[in-house]
Amino acid sequence: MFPIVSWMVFSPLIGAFLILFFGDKNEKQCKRIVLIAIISSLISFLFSLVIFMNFQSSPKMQFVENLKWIESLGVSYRVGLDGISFPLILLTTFLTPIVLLFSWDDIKKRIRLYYFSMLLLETAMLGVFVSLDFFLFYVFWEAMLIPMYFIIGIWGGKKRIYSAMKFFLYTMTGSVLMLIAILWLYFATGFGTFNILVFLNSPVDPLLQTWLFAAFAIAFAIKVPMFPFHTWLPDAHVEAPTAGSVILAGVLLKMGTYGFIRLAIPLFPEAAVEFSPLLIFLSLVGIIYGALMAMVQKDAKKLVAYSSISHLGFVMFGLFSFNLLALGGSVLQMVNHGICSGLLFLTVGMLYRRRHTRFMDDFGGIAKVMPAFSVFFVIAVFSSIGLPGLNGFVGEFAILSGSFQSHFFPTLIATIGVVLSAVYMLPMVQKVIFGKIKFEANRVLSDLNLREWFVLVPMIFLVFLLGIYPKPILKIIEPSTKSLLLKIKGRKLLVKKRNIKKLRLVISEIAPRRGY
Amino acid sequence: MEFVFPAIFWKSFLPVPILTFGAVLVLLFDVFTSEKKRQTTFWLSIIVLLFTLVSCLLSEGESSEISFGGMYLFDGFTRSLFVIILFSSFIVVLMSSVERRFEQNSYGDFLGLILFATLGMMLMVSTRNLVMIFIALEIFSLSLYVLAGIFRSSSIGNEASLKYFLLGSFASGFLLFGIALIYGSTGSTDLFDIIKFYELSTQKLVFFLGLSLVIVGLGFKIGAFPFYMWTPDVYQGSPTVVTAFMSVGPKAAAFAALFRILISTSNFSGNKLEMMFWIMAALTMTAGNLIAIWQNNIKRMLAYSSIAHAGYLLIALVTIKQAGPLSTGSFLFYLLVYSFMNIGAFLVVTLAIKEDGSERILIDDFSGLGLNRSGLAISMAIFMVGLAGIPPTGGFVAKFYIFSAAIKSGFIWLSVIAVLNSVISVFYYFRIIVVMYMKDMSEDEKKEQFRFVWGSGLSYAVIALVICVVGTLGMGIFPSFFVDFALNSSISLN
Repeated sequence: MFPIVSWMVFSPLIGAFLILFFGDKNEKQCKRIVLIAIISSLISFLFSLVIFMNFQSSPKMQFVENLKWIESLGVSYRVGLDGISFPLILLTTFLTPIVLLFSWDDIKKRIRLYYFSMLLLETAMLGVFVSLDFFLFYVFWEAMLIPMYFIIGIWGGKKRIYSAMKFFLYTMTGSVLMLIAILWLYFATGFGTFNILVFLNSPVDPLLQTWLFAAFAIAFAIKVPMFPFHTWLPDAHVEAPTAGSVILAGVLLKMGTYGFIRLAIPLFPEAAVEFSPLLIFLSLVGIIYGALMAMVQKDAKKLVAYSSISHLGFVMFGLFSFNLLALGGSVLQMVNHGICSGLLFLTVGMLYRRRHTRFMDDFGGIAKVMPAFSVFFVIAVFSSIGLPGLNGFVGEFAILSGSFQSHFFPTLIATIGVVLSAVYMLPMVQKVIFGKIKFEANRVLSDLNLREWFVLVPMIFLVFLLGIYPKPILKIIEPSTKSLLLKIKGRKLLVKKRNIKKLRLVISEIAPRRGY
Repeated sequence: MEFVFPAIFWKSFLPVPILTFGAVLVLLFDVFTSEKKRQTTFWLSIIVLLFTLVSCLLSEGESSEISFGGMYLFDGFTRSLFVIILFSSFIVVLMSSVERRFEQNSYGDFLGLILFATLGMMLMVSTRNLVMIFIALEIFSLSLYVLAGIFRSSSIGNEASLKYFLLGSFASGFLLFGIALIYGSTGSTDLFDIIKFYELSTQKLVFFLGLSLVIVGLGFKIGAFPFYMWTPDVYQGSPTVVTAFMSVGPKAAAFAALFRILISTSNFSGNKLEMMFWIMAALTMTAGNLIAIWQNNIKRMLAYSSIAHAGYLLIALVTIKQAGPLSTGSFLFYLLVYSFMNIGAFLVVTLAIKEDGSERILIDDFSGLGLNRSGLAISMAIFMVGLAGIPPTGGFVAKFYIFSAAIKSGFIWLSVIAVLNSVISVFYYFRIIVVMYMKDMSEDEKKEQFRFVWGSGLSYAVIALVICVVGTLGMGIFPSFFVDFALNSSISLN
């Protein structure tokens, strides 16, 4: 069988190494590098489309590849995808060529290193979504940080070094704790393998689960980011170059929620249920807090960054209400948020490119000078607010109507967040697009150029497609979420029937002893 | 009484005589030739090291072979350590070819001393006799004292040498006194016999006093808390080549001795020693990492980082009782990867000399390296990422093994301390990356252009650098072969 998943993951990497052989001294050479980068990411996108054509609507892992790696520890190179990871893979392969194209006009220094890092980042991100082995997963998970660190730290704004370091330290603190949990899981269960599927199919003893879930949850919660761990996000988003922000908001944040739905919840369902009140509470705090913070921002990019915290709160809320509709809505919302926050960052980036400011008060009346841009901008904002007919609506609506059945009051609070999103988003439209032209500099702004059309049109197309006809993607998601939910529900019954005394005996043997 | 001559396994003993005669040959050759023959001495020592390496790869390490009644013991553990020590010496010799500051004939002395120090380290890892441990330790320590001050005109070099000598002699004194006490209480210096005689001993307190003094002496050599005070000064003052040499081999040797001592005494010392090393490991890495954050001098920073890495290696030592082969395996693998990364980092420091020939001493001096000398900068970035333990470098796999050994033995909290420490370490390792790539450069630095002169010794150092980079990355992506090699290198006493 043709190893199509590996080809999809590693074709950007091949492109990255190709780039190293070309110089970036003059304009012509630079153009060549950008072209290679875009082509190699497009190849990856093509592979993912081929997978899309052949994807079967079933909860099973598909396109699984398995190679030996470090046998003595039970580590193997095992990749595959299912209905939960595949939408996010499509999102990644779709967004990367777009942001690479966008960077054409944006990045002026160290072109080679920039595109090298971007392609490296794409491979690592895809790797996280496809890996079915803990070791492999962790390698990609951490390897992803390095190119992102470079992208923020070299091509970012004024406070870039501080922000890059903060981003790195926060994420790494979480992930090293996860590493400990992975190793603990490995030795406590005694399977002798790091194959994730083996762990997913065999229950972990509930008494072990609490700590392990906590370690995983902290790692993922930092990445999402959930409320008390969110402080790295505004810094990183604001300082990163536009392309970095798009990838950060579009894909990297989804790693956290993906981690919850792929690992933390199905591996430790009892602990997940036990912790769910706390996590729902934190996600509600995130929804309201993010919205309130967004409301008072003057910097458009910061506003979008805080809106991400609020939107990701919805996703987390949907995950932990353990309801089929809400769970499906969460996965869909991950994709939707990737598109609409990406779109917002891109449009804000286009404004910044022209005026070198992101303060909303510096604009006004843009609709008159940049009509095409304004249309796209308004659509992006409406999609973020969740206007019916656009993509943002479908996911949010599914989450809220699903969770409404089981969590009445939390849903009520979350709904306030939907209202608030209009409260902070619409003033931005008003300040930037409408009104009189206050500054002379704004009078001469040029409308979109050809490259920017190419960047925005595919995104807007998806906004409408997913808003009006989300069925193809729902067909991918649904079987997986259904089987996941069945598994969690089934496990709950299983635990009750168990003989607790016998369980304790088992635990005392396998659980690591309390040491100094 | 009839004298029975102890058994000698010549095949496994071969590396030692080869290296001894090779070292003497290098010294003699240097005496009888003129300054112009520098190249020949260099090649001679390379050949000696390669021969020794081949001879120890040829001997099988599956079962242990005991020669000279326990004075020389060759098992899988010994063999792997031989390879690591010889490899680090090999890289250091390659690296030394770029150093231009050797006076008159001191280059030959330098190579001879490197070879003798290598010999001492090899003897130390291949014995179960405490007296032999002491003699081996003195062989390499004395060589290192001289090496630290090999540039006679450098005042900080002399300071480093003297400091190292004074403090080192104290440590040797402790070690020797400890050995004497152990001998006094059990009547033997052979670890194998000590296990047997311990039960009969009436002076158990004296025995433990001796044991702790031995640990103090060896703890000094690995730079463990609280015996690490000499490290930064000596690392800073010594020539960078010597510092690179010092940061791997002596640690390997002292750790090997600790491993053998801990294994043999673990049966009757209960958990006490384990607990002591637990605390030592936690404090060593925390102290190393926290102090490293505040350093501005690159060599001092790397010195504290090497203290921190000694702390991680101590974790492997703590787990020896419960994790068995995983413990020694993770130790060996970590040491191998560490030697790639750490020597590599020092290599970059040596190669990154400014146009006027002076070394970049401060971390801030590395500013702009990413633009002017991208090859060096990218190598340095890889080493830093590796030392911080981030995939896809070998540093990650090495840490992964150490932590697996710790968690398998139930030391959850120790591994939590260790991983948090590796987060702290990111802070100072990445400072170099920040300086090289992210800081805005001054006008002078933009102008600075480096002309790469192939030949003139530089090419050997570049080869060494390539080996280190490939090793660091290769161990992270295809670690399987070396992992199995390390896991199969079992340690034995009898």
